Amino acid sequence: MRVRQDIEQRAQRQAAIGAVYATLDRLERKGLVTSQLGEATPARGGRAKRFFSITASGVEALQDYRTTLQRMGALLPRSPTTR
Amino acid sequence: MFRLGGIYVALVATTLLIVGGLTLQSARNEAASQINAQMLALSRSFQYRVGDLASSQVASGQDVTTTIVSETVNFLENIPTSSGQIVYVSLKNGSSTFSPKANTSATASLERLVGNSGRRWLTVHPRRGDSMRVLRVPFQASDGSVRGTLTIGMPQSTLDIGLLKSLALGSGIALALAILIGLAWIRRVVASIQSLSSRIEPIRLERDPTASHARNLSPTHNHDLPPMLAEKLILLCTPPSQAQPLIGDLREEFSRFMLPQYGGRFARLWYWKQAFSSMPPLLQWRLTRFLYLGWLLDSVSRWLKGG
Repeated sequence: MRVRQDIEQRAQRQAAIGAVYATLDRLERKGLVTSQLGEATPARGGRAKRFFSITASGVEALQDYRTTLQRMGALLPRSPTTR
Repeated sequence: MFRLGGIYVALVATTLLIVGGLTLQSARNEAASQINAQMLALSRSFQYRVGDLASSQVASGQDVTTTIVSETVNFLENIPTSSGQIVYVSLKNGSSTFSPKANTSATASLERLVGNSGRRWLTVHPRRGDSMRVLRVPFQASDGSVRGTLTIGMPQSTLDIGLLKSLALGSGIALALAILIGLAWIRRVVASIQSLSSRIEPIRLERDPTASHARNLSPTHNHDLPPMLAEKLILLCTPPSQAQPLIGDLREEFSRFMLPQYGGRFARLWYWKQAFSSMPPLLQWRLTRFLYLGWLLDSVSRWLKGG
């Protein structure tokens, strides 16, 4: 839930819960994140919560991605300054 | 599971029994027609060879009865008879001749038919031994006068036992295969149903006011719960290992944020929206996991990167 809400707040776009879980599962299979089940709570209808945490290789992949994004962003023209 | 398996086994066994019975009956009819044709051919051969020879010898002045008897014996000694086949010739003067290979039980049954001038085709059931197909043909001399009766008998047991053995073997193998395949299939289907039931059961218990679990899980009313159909839809599309956390997340957000903030109607609409918008990625996720496409794509990309 928290992951999805974070995505929605930061990206200012809606994200379906199914798409978030599918992506997290793919990242987990690649070894970029790990997950573990928590305890079941009444508010969740007796269902356990899954906690995700980023791995070292996940952090590295994220940094690589950010560097690439910055390089690509440098090619974009600067926004015109107001006079 | 066991009840379903038992019903399946009973159905397969009954079907095989019916099919086997029909096949046996059809095979018996076919065999009977072959036996009839064989016996008819033998009777024609007898009429042709013995009748003509007797006529030619009578014309040369020999005694007709003596000639017929000697030619009959000669015919019976030389014809190739099948296993258990009996040829019995009785003449009007009381003399009779059996083929050399005839056994006493069968000949006794045939002897009882001598005085019977009724049906041409008969099926004899002796007190001991197997049933026998019998053909009785009046034996005529060349002048058209009836000189006696030719009786041909052939036991049906040998053919039936062979057919029964083949059918029993085939049916047994088919039955064993059908049971193995069917039980494996039933086990798989039942396991799927049980898996789905175990995932749906908490939802049902939660909504059932008589269930004791419901009070422990949530104190809310039914109209404050998310739509059950939408939950089932998500459960159907989600891989089983991930279904419970996903539904739990939706439930928590529904009850903690959406319901108090926007009310029941909007919260339920929001839940339906989540269900519908989650279906395409969930189905794709499930399909990918099923086909191991993710593993394949990862391997290919690693290979391309040289890793």
